[in-house]
Amino acid sequence: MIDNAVFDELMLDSALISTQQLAVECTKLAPQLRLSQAIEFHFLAKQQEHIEWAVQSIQSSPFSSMLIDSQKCRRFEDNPILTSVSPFNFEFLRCPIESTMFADTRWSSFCFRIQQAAALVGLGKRFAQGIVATMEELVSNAIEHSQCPSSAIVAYQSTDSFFELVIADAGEGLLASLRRAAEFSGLNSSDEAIELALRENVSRFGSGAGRGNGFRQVLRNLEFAGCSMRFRSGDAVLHMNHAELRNQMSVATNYAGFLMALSAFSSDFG
Amino acid sequence: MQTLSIFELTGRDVLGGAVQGESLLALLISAARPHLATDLIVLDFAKVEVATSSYLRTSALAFRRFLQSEYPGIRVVFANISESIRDELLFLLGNQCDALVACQLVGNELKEPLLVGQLEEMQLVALRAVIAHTEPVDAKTLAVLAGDSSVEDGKRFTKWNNRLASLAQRGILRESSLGRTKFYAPIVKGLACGT
Repeated sequence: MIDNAVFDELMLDSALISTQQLAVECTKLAPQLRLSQAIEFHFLAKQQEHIEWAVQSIQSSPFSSMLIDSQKCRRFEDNPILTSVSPFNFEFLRCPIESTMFADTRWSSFCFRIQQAAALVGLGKRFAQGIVATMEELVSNAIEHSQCPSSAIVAYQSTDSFFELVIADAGEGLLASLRRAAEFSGLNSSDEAIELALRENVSRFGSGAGRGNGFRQVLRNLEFAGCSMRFRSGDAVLHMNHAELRNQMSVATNYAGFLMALSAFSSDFG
Repeated sequence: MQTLSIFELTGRDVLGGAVQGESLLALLISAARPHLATDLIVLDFAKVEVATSSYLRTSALAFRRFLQSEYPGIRVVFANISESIRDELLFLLGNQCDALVACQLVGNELKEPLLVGQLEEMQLVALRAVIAHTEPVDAKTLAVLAGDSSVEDGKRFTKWNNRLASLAQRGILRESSLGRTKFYAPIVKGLACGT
């Protein structure tokens, strides 16, 4: 499994992008890509209109069929009805885009499988519930703020030793979204935008609107949970481990949209 | 009294997202509509362990606002809220300087009523004064007891009226009239103000 730092280094190298070597590199790495990395690469390739990369470069990834399926822009209501409460090795769902769809058992059972997958790797029940609540918040944000809700996806990877949850969209990204608020109109970097978005009461409606608290459920317990988070938007990537923000960096590859990945290894829980 | 079970309406023990909350709001309005002759609706959160502030804002609290606006005679009480939901409500209501009544629903009985949220200082003083009375009480009596003895001083008297009316409008106090005088009592007997 590829460490996020290695993946970020790859994204940092603009020479690779311009020569399309990124596709070659990712093809090599594909079998070891984490779900979040495969999704990020897939979105990036699509955004750069290199659809062939998107398909070809991930063909050797274990997630290939899932991601290639996503090319078809499958609608929520076309997803199969799965009422299983046991998590799969990995699963992907294009987000519902209307509030009524959230009452669908396809959605509730999917959410429950995420909760079970988090518990399976050793995360406590309370934190696993917080993860699902946060995921729902980010899905809602994608619908309300991304300007491209139909692009939003939720996916998880689950093994006995590893859990990862990914929420990603190909919308306008955090910087453009926050700039809609007059008080944040002066923001000029995606780094700042991500940091702001993680604070309480910050949203495109401004800091006095009582909104923008989607990360509360996870962040207030992250310190004790033994998992890490990765945030990607625009040219920025931020890592958070045990509630400490670190590895903040700008990467050359512009990711139009927002991606959050939360991952945990069972080895972190002894 | 009408009880609406959030778990039965959603089938979920974890609730998050503003858009998802709107879905519950529609269900709550629809479920409550046949019972709008009641004066008290209990939102029962039993079996719901987590609900985010965004979800609560667009669902249960929006439902409360809807009733305050469209059916001002109906009060809403939150029952059986988990510690996590209480924390979220405290956070959300604290930001808005608002409060509501939460309690335990055991059978058909409301027990251990507690104020959750934050009120302006003088509203809290007024609420404590009402709670100190076993019977419904009017603004004039409270003004006198509080030392605002110059009842002729219309300004002070009006302040007490306004505070009580505001607490009633929030669904914390029940309002009844005798002639031109309005009397107030806690929406649930034994209400505690908490910390």
